[in-house]
Amino acid sequence: MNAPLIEHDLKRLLAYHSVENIGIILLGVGAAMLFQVYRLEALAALALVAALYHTLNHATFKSLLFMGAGAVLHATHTRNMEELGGLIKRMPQTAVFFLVGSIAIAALPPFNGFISEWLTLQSLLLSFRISAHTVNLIFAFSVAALALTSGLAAACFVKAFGITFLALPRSEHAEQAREVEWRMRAAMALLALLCVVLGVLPALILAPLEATVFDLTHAHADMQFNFNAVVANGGFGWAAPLWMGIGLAVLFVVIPLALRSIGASRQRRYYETWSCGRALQTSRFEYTATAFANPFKRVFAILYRPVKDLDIEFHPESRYFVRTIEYENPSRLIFEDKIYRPLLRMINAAARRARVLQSGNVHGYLVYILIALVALLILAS
Amino acid sequence: MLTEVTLELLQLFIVALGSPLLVGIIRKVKARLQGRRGASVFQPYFDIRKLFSKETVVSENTSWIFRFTPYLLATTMLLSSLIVPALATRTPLGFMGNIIALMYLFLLGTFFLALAGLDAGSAFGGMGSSREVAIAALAEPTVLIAIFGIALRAGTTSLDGIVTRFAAEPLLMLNAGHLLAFIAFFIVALAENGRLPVDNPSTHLELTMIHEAMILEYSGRHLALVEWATGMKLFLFLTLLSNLFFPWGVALTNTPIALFSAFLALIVKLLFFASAIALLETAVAKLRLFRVPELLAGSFTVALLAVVTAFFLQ
Repeated sequence: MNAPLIEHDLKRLLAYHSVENIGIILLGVGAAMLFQVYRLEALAALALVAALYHTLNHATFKSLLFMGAGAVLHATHTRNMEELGGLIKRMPQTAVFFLVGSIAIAALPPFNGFISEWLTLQSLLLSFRISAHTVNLIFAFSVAALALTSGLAAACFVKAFGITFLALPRSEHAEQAREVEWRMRAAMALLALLCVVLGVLPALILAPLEATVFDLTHAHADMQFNFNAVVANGGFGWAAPLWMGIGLAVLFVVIPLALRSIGASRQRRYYETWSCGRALQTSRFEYTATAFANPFKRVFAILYRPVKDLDIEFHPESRYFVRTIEYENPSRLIFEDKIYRPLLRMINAAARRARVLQSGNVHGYLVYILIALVALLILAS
Repeated sequence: MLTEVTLELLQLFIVALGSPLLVGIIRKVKARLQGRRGASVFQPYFDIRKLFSKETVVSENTSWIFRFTPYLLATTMLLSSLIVPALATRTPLGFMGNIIALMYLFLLGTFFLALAGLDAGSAFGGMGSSREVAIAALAEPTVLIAIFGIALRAGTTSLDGIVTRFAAEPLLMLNAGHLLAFIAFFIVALAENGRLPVDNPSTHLELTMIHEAMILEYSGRHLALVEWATGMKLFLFLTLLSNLFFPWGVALTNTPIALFSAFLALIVKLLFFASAIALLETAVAKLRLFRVPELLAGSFTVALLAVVTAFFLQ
């Protein structure tokens, strides 16, 4: 989860973020396996259903987000968030679809990410039924890890959506963006609708998932659900996303009506953003993506090892006048240096050795086929 | 049916109308501790009424998200007030979510407020949003581990189940795990509501503000809604702290007498917490922003201890 927070390339951010979601899915699967070991089959089935549900949801909202990023790339010819901004006014529908995807991936009610992450959490919390203390502690840490990634995901997508779409455009590309054609928007609309439907009516998908898990494990998942609510473990926890959605919608309409009835003022004036009395408001005064990620870089400094590069060019006449300031804050994620790069180097080295086999000589290839055939015949017998 | 609707409406009105009073009481106690007379405890009501009568000034840089967020905040808080066990253990709409769903509902409000902070295109808003989501993200593990600790001893994560189970246990206060979970949850409540030592709710200086920075551009009815929603969030958190950890007086049945005594008990508990917060805010200085993760890490350790004691002392 640390990688997407400092990433400024929209698509790479989304790709790194998939790592987090795969982690959640594997947490569910791992919990299912642990429950199975301790013969708590109903709970194992519950955890597995949660994992599968999250896989499906992830497919939905991640595809939606990637399509949104693609639409942004198509319209602005850049993926760098530091050059975007203000797209919500130029690409309003794409912005709405990307927002739906962001809310879903941050696991906020009432969309689909919430209910699947909720279900995963419930199955992890139910681990107290296992009476081995080490396992319980592992589960406690996994709950903490899940919570942390969930919070960081919300932070990451505030950044992704906020910097890309909101406020003023930070470059020419962003200023001249146009809404993408209807076919791209239709695809995104379909996925956004699916996010909403899977969120408020989980029963639609939980029924087939439960049947699938039953076929696999011959155990009924420890949950009941209908169109109203999802109940885990006979009352250990319940949630009613449909009613939450309805409640939110109803209250959202009631509040402005109530305000109108008490005679609240409805006048509105448009003016500039407060800029401490400066005469000009440009996009240079906005917060940048680098700045937004700064608190995280500080907190997780061990993982990021950020380096501050500050170049100040002074006016030749006097050091009190500054001509330009250039600030760069590159970070190298520790995983990249210690895990990914050595792995890539090993794979490259192995591939270079294996290249010897590709001699281009057809006779050589015929000999390979003969050897492979003989080996298979020996193995099969 | 009628009693259920009445009960829900009663809870809604108590939270909606009582939260400015709670904020007023905290400010008054703080003022007295600082040797001032302080404004009337009803001042937040006057402020909100004044704000509703003023025109809103909306920045040209903003989009619909800016105007949408105050209504969403008020909506999520009002919806939460229908779920939280303020008076009765089991509210009729309490089936909507357990405590985890409630925490995520709060996070929805925070998410949109952070977006609205970025929307105006000012450095203040961006800074406030960045800090706010960082703190919210770091407080999440503590919240869920504290919930785990509670759920372990209550055997359930549904709000009414927890309250019922704890109300039936007389020696609750002597349980170490319970007190540890309470401490962790209290620190998270301070962080989530922007109280000292995490954020100063009465300052408008960019060095010290997180929540105030995000709402800097709001005015008129938008600001009134945001201020009201913030008050409601504090009210709900304190109600959760009171009724989950010290469930004395909560109405176990829905008779008028039980509900009335639950109301009085709630008032007493909220007054106690309001004074405690005011005392804490007077005694403690605001932490440097990059020390806040240390505080949250400390509260996480306390919550983890609560879970461990619940496991090993069962």
